[in-house]
Amino acid sequence: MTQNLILILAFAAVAWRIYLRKMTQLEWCLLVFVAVNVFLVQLQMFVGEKGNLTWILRYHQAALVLLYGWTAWGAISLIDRLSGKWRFLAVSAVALWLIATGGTSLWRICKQAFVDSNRSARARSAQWAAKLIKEDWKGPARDRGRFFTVQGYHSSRRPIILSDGAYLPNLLRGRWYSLSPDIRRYERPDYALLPEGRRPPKEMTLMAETEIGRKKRRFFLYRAKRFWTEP
Amino acid sequence: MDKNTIRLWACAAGTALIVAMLSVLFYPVENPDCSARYAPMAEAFARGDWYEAFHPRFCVFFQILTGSLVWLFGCSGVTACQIVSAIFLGLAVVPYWHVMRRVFKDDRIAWIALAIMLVIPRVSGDAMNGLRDTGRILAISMWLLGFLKMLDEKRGIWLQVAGVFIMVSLKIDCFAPAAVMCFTSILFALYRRFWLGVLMMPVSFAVAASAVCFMVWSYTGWFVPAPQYISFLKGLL
Repeated sequence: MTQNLILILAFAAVAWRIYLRKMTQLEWCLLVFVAVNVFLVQLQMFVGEKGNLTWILRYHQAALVLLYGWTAWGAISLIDRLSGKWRFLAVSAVALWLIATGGTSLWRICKQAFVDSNRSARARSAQWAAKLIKEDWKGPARDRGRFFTVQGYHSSRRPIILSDGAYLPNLLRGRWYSLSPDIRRYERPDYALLPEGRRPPKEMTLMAETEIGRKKRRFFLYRAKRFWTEP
Repeated sequence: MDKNTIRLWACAAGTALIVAMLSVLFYPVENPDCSARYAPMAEAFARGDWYEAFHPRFCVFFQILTGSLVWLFGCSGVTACQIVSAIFLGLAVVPYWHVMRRVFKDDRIAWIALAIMLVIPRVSGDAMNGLRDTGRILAISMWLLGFLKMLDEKRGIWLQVAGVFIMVSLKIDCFAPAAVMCFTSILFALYRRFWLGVLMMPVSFAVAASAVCFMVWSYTGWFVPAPQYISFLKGLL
């Protein structure tokens, strides 16, 4: 949302500068550079995905940050047109917005440790499950071979974990049960940590369950009846 | 050093330090790109398991940096990814500010643009998730700053060399933009009769591309920068 607002302001500022005939040669160069970057990244994805046109904003972020200069110019131009208390209010609003957005970004990093949310509940359930699995898993830390496909990376670490997000497998130095079809045909999870309402894969038994947080979100830890071995 | 330079480097160090510290201490990385791919790769690199440390879809540079960090400090792969990604973001501060100032010729615009880049959640989110995208911001800013310097003063070739090198070796979707950037640098270096630029740009691109292509070749038998190019070439051949 914040990003979209900033970009809308940037494009408005570009249009305004073009209308005022204030765009310099360097600005045009920068604008063309951003457009070429976005086009080439998109073209590669188009070819790589065999004609599927997918838009992933993260892939264009590095080029899009170059547009923020126009957003800044727009804000400064507006402020310069104001005077007296309006100017003071506008400067304060911009400063407050920057502080609030920066604070939100930092809070987003830390809040998992302090608030009761779905995400923090998932993290705490993963820590709970990691302890139990560490005591239970007697198998190898790594498989002898590694299943290799060009389309996806699969490590050889064990145990194989099915979970929402890859935090739990990482705590265990295990491997995330990838949902890509090629690996699904090849291997099965050793453990599964699932929230209430999700059915475990076949041939798994309930190992433990817990309630997390004030909202008492329930999580179930399943264990394979027979651990998967390399073919 | 002038005031701006001191402020900039303080801002760079502060950004890297704050983002890295908060991410490592408080942020559980669920993102599979980092947790299920880059982190195991870094740990495999640290223990010398080259086969598991790389993959044709993921280039080479990030694994080398994060793997070296794991090897040096014994930290986890995810922590290494978060630290490297935060350092990329911190380092990007300096060239990004200079590019903005050079284009808009106003310190205030440069500072506000930089502040926007640092505060919006998407960019810092990439760093806390230990993703490679902050490295691309660094590489693009470095190349742009070097290019602008070359146009004015016949300087800045090493910034362009480093920018293109990082782009080619960091993320495969940077390959085509990096090729165009390299070609543009050579053209303008020829126009300005800046022979060091004409020589160094293709060398930088070739070294990085060879490393990536060699890695892909060792897995697939195709000397191309990424698997996407294999299916494209198969369609042509």
